[in-house]
Amino acid sequence: MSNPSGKFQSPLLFPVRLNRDSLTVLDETALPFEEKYHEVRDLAAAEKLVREMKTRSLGQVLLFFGCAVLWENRVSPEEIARRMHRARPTFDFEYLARLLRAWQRRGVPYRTATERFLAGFDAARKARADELASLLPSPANVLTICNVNGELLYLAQALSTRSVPVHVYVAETRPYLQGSRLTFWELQRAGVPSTLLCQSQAAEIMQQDTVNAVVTGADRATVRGDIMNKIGTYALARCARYFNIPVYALTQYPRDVDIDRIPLEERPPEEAFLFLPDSYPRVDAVYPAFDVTKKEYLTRSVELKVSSEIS
Amino acid sequence: MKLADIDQGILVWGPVSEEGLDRLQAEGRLAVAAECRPFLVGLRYNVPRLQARGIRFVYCPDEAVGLLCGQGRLGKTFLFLRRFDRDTLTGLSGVGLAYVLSRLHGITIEEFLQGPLPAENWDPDAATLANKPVLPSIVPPGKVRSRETEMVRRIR
Repeated sequence: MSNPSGKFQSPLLFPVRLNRDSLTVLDETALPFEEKYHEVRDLAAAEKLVREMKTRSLGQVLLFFGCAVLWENRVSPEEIARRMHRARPTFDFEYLARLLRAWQRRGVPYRTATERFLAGFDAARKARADELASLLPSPANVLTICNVNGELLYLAQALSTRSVPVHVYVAETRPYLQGSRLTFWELQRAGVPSTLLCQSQAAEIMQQDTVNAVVTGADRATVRGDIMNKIGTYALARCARYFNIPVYALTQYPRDVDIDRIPLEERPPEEAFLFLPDSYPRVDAVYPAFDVTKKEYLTRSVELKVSSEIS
Repeated sequence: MKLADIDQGILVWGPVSEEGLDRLQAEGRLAVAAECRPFLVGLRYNVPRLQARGIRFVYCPDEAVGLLCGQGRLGKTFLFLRRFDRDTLTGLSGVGLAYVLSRLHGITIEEFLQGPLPAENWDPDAATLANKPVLPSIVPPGKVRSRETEMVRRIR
């Protein structure tokens, strides 16, 4: 078993950096060929990065907080949430705005609150990875989809500490290929045993007992236990349930909402042909970017335990 | 096209045959052509044939098939296979996902022998897309799931 020692620090762990008067945002669509960053100096630029999927998941959370800190006197958290929500309707930016307001009422400046929040956030991610490690069998042959911003490296470390061999099977996650370009790349760089596959090959490896757990992130989670995540998650969960393979969802900030009422983001049809040469036909396409997986198809949600109390 | 525009579509999985195209024409419903990774048979083989026959269709990433099933947007699934018998279905890599999802959602499946795939430079696995590497360095052997065919057991 390799020793994922943590020497490789994935840029995806903290893809947004707060500067004195700007934000530096990792372009997640350029990885792994290029580690490229965008300087964000206004809200319109931030919104554009979210819309173009240059950042997502944790990146969009950090971007929200960064915008609020930098332009505290020019734009309200609610306006930032509205603009970001316009670009990514699936994600709960309104909750982040409410968090900021709550801290403000306690007299904590946005910058201080954000710094404290993030300090606790990384520790909470490691704790969540450790909790998940305690649930996985030994050896842990894990199928995953999309990307959870480096948290699988924490999981590999937690499993290594427990002397549990791990092998991660990464679904490529078309059409943006976040599985190939981000997750598989991270795991390879960190020396975590891993295999890349197409999403369509998932049923076969489940039937053959090659994997014994599915681990997924979640863009949204509800108190009931439902999740909304990258398109393809539902298919994996349904197949896993059929083949008696447990499915674990990494969740945060569950809300008391009906998940079926949250609009599913549908991307422009041309994005179904990303990374393909012009010689390939361009035709009408449907590309929903997220899907909903109900609690019934999840074995367990492993929740991020980060306190919203920062003062 | 938006999800809401798809109603009782027919999922097309695997290399479509002339018999299958005849059936799709007879059905007159919207065909949903999944991309069928790793080979991209959906785009490279099926789309030109659907176009040539004038069959109305929409293309989709494989990842969307589960959602389409779950939302009740598919009325049938047409599987194009190397062979099938009472116990198993064998087709190009990936066929198991389309079969299992269709069965779990109670979608009617029609099985056909697949069309004749020409000897072309198909993507053999997830390490390439349109024959271009998806990672900066070559994915080492054994680090990528490379399978040409797949056999799935029927769900009783």
